[in-house]
Amino acid sequence: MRDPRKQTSRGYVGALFAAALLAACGSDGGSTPTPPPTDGAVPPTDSGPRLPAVRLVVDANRNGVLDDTYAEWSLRAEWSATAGASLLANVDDDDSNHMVDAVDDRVNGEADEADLARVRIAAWPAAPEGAAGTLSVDEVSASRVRLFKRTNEGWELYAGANLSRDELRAGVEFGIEAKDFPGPMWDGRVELSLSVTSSGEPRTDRAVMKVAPWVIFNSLDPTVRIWGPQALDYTPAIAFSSDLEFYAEQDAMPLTLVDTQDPTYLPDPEQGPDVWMQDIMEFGWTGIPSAEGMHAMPVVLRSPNTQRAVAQYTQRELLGPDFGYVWKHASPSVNGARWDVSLDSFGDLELIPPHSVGGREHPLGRIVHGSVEARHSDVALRQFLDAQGVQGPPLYIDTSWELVGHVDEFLSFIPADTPRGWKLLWASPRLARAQLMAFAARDPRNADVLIFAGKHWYYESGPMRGRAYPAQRAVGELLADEELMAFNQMVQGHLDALREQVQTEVGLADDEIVEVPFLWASHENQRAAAYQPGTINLLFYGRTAIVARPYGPTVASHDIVEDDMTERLGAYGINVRFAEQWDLLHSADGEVHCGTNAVREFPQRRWWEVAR
Amino acid sequence: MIRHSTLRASVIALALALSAPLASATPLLGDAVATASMQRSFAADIRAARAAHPERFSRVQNLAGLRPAVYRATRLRRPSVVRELRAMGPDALLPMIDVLAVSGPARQLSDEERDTLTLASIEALGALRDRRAEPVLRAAFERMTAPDAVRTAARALGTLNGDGEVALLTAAATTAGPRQAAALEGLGVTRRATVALTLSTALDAARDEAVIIGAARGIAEVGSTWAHTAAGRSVTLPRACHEALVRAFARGAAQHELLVAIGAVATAETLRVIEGVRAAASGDTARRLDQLRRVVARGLAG
Repeated sequence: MRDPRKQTSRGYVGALFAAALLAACGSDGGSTPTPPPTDGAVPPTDSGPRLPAVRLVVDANRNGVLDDTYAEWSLRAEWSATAGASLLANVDDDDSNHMVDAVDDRVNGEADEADLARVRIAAWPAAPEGAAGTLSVDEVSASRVRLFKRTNEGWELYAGANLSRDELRAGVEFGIEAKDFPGPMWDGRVELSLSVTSSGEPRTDRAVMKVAPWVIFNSLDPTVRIWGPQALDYTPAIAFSSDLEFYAEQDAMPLTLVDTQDPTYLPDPEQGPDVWMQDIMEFGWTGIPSAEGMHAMPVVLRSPNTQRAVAQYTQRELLGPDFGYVWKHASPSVNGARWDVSLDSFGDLELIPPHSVGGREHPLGRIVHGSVEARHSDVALRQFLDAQGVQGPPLYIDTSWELVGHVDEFLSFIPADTPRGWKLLWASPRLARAQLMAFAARDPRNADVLIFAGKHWYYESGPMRGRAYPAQRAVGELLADEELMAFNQMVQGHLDALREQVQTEVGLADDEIVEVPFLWASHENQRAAAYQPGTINLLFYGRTAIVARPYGPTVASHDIVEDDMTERLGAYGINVRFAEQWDLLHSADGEVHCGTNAVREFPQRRWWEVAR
Repeated sequence: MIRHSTLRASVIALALALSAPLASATPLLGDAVATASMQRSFAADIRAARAAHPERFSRVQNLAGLRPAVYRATRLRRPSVVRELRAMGPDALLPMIDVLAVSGPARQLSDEERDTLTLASIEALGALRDRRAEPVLRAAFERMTAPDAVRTAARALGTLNGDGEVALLTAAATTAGPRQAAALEGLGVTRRATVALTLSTALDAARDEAVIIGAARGIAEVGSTWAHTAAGRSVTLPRACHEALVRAFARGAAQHELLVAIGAVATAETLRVIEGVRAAASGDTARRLDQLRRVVARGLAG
């Protein structure tokens, strides 16, 4: 029988997230916008110039309230980093019907009501006989948003019908939702137009709103929950998940283990479970201003790869009340011959933490993604990322020299006590070679010390039965491997070139980069993957880094690679914890980060303050 | 009583059964590459090896990484067999020659599976450094047309590293054509000091991006100090190679590949060469050379 703690039910994660967020963020937790009174128009409350009788009221000053003051009304028609109203892409599932709320044309209860941004036609008590009006949306946005009009019976879909004199006299409240995030054909800017005729005389007003984008979590922000794979009948997975459970419990970090042997996620049990929790989903968030700061929800972006059955987890188990879901993918004919589905996995989608460079600010960080013309990811993914704006422009880098092709194989980030607040971890076969050479030089006997002692390539199970072969070798033999060394020098060349690109783009100094030593190997056609476990490919939360157990040369119970990594990250106050993942992940061309995932807290900086 | 015709038919059937699992199967390299004379040259050895070690042939014919049930469950969702083949070591030599050049695969493979097995077998054959593979690798290099296959075959010939292979690769490296780029890279894989100037000359003359990349990769291979150190050799890459790389970089093509190659062979000499070329440069070229210098200096300091 499965442990119910390890199998999330719909909304479970969302509820836990909300609770953790409120606990962690205090007054900045999300909340329901204060509904306006329904007993008539709200008169201007400030001492500004006279407001026109026919006017739209939106939350242009971003305080979560429709103030109907001149100060707010004067901001309604433009959108910038300092003013302008927002609306949500209503992509959570408040009625738990397994579909995002934006799919239907109903307001699905109180929770769904809270996701509607408010728009009001101010009360015009003096509206004359025959006055009538309509509220419309610009042509580009019309099919991408939905308006609801509040009535005595609740919310009803509004498609531009005439508003009566009585309605104009009392004022009309609307709720508006977007059906989706900004995309390649729509920048998310919505223009509302109010048109009222009375005595043949037209009166108009307009307001501009913007759809809140999808924003990736920063891996250095406080963590709410981590994810890992579970496969109770698969020994390698047991070892890894046991380590995750142990460390998570020590750190009081909520952990979800996804049952990768669920028949839905594993149509053919002979195949072996798909354990790559990083591949299938990327966690982000979206939100709009509220009286308490921000009404927000986490939103999972599902991998474009339509062939990953386990990715259904995102819709089955994560989509729910206050937990959104979005999936973008194009057809093979659109993607073309250079499309590589491996780049649609989210180890290839990372976020450079907040920084500024050359007068350009990235207060919510900047996306980095491995994709170039010669080998690229799903175009729908890149178009989606480009369209969100606030964490762009994405930095696209060349990972075509790698077998798997993911940026997380050679970079990650750690917090640091520096003006920037973080440092870049960067893979270094140069350092790995030097480390092993120094070890061999210290004592002649060290040349015979084994690396990868007792380990095999491939795990002996199912179809791989009989295929496993020893990985261990003596350090001296490894250092004398001409082909391996030549290949690593080539990889170092790739990494040096990419480091130049990243350093220049981000404005990093050399001392803001921490090199992480491990060797690489050629797998097929000179494409590279980690030969020593890629310790850079780690899971970071709090002050903990869960790192691949490296099985380095060991003397007197001291693994020199473990000791080095412990010291290297320990210098930044990070506790390094090694996880057993050789059979599950490393021999399958991945490491800890590839097999895990995490949801973080909403950042203090708001997306609407980042004008892009 | 057994009639003569029945006995004769039985003998023929037995001979066919012993000669190949499926006599009608097509070798992976195709009949145009794996000629009838090549097949005949291997037939006896393969027959004997199959009789002595049928399990080796069975294993190559039944690679786990070629089975959809296996590779569709892997992270990359595509066939992959290089590591399986290389792990077999010398046991796989004749089975791989068989599947490449004689009998072909025993079961129907998809195009992707065929291509994967072809490239992986060529690569793994080269890694064995067994001269018996030379005719197959030579034929693959000379007659295949897919760029990946030609490149893999060239590298495999370079790994084999006999005088004949060097002569073949040198001839192709100095002749404009579809095999020139691959040949240049393969020459570099030999890591013979004598090929360095051939590579630098070719790079200086190259204007085709593929050839530039091939030559750059070749120089990175022959100039790999880590490789030479591993092998206990002390080799200095001629200044002409550093100059050719930096001049090619300055001209503007294949920037990333050249940056990689220059970084891979960089020494203090490289910095001097860069400074020399930089002195005569301006504008965008100067900026790129400054970037190059920065990358090389940082690498040398590390």
